[in-house]
Amino acid sequence: VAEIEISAVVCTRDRAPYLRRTLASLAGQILEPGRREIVVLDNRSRDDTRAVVQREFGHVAGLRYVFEPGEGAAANRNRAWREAQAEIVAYLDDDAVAEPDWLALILEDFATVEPRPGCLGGGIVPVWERPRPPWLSDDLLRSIALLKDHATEPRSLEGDQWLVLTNMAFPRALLEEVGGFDTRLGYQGRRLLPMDDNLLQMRLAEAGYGRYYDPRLTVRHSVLPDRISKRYFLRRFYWEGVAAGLLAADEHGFSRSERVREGLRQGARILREPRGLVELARDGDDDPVRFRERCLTAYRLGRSFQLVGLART
Amino acid sequence: MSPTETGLELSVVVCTRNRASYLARALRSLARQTLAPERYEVIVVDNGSTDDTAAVVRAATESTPDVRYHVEPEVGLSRARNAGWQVARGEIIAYLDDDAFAADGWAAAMLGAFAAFDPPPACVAGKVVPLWETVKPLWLEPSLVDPLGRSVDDGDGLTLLTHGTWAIGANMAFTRPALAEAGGFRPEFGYRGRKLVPAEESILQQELEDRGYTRAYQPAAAVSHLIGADRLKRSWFLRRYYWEGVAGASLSIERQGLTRSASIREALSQTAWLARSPGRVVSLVVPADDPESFLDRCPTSFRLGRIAAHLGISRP
Repeated sequence: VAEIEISAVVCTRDRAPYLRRTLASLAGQILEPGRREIVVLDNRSRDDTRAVVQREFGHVAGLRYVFEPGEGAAANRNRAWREAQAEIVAYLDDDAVAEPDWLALILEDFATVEPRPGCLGGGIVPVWERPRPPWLSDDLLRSIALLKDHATEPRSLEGDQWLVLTNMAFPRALLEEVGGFDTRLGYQGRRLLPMDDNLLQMRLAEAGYGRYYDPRLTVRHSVLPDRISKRYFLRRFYWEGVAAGLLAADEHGFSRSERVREGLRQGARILREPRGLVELARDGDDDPVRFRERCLTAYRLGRSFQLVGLART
Repeated sequence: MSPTETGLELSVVVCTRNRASYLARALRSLARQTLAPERYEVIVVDNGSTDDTAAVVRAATESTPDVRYHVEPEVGLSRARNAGWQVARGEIIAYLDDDAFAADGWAAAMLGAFAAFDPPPACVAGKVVPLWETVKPLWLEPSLVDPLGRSVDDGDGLTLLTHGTWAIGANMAFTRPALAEAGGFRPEFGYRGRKLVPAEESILQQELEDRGYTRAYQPAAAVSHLIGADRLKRSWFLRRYYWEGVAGASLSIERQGLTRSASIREALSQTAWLARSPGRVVSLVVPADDPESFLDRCPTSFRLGRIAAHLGISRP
């Protein structure tokens, strides 16, 4: 029996119509089915996810359905690599579509790129499920990873260029080594706390493993209708700020009082320019520059709230 | 079948226009074929792109030497396809859409299908598996897609095609002599910018059939065909159905040798059909979201296309 070389894992919740398409793109991979497995991690879906997977993809060789009753996206992501049987674990979002050579290229890259990266991934092309509104700039999309286009040639990423777990692969042993995803981060219920994938990349970097970007691994990622609203973006940026505060406190090893002081210092900066707060509250026009400013203010608020200890995570 | 003096057995023709990002993946799939590189060439026919198509082809040339870039300035898919086979050096010409991705064994399976029959078929249809970029919209019923030339799916084995089952352009191959004998694709049919005139593939295959050639279906020559979000718009389907009507009517005028007056009589009878239920015409311009009303609008658009062709207002 040939060994399974790569586990494609899809963590999902209540997105059966999108998942159907994601799984179709995995079932149609050109990599020989005997070399891969597909694991669907269903995090407490209440829609017909289980039925869709078992009825429509039950015939796909090497496809497994796993129900995860626990809370939170990061925990689900950890369950995923622990379930995986192969040496390489590739994450694909449940609302993304992979190119037919996605798995084959991941294996090729891990086998050929020197030095061997700790993780690799590709870009993200947004697929608009509703017409794109005029107030959304590419900048804004990039900063919350609805659009990723680091380079046209494969290369290592440096500095604050990060891969996103929308499409990303790791050697399973490394995930084990750094302890997987930090469950303090990650989406949970109404909490939109991102960056569990960023933090993981930082930990890999500390352990001496680089990250590699291959534009051929780019996936098509749906911008879901309920995300195409100003409300969603403002909330999302608030939570980006909360996560940034959490990471900053971690990184500097702040004591409780240092955190509060830093939070107040940043909060005071917002208060010095009250125009930003006014703009945040006022639903302005469709101007993308002004909307970006509002998102930044929401981000700063989230960061100082977190440092002061007001954000409920 | 013996290879030509050049030793090339297969020319893969990819026609494209302003879809550089799609083209890159199609070329990637052609670079990783199991067929030995010296047995095939790739020809990209650029039908007047203004994006970075040329750069994508240049980049592909670095990894696969036998990629050629050919510009066909006159817009039209049939013109581009004809330019493709006319500059090709291979004995077999295989067409791959720029939004398709060929399985590793695609080229080898295509050649295998031609070699499997004696005499060899003039045309081989490959298998087309759709890859949806977005969720299928509610209004998109299978009954709307099927009449537009659903991909051939004749089981799991290599088999001869029967009359009425046509290879579709996303994945089809021809012998060069047959293409030359039938005169290639008729340029007035085939998509031309916003004019979505269909039927160029089936007209050619009918022509081959009339000349006594056989055609085959090879499921092992599989491609995955990306259905982009831009295609999943109602306006696209309405336009497509309109041109389906235009193409159908024009072909019947031609094949039945209809006189001008017979053609106008036909237009009148179609108009009478529409006039009996004016609600249909009204519903064409009134937006509707539910699948059922859209289901009605496509045939109306189709009828309007027929009428326009019979009156000589729209020509393919």
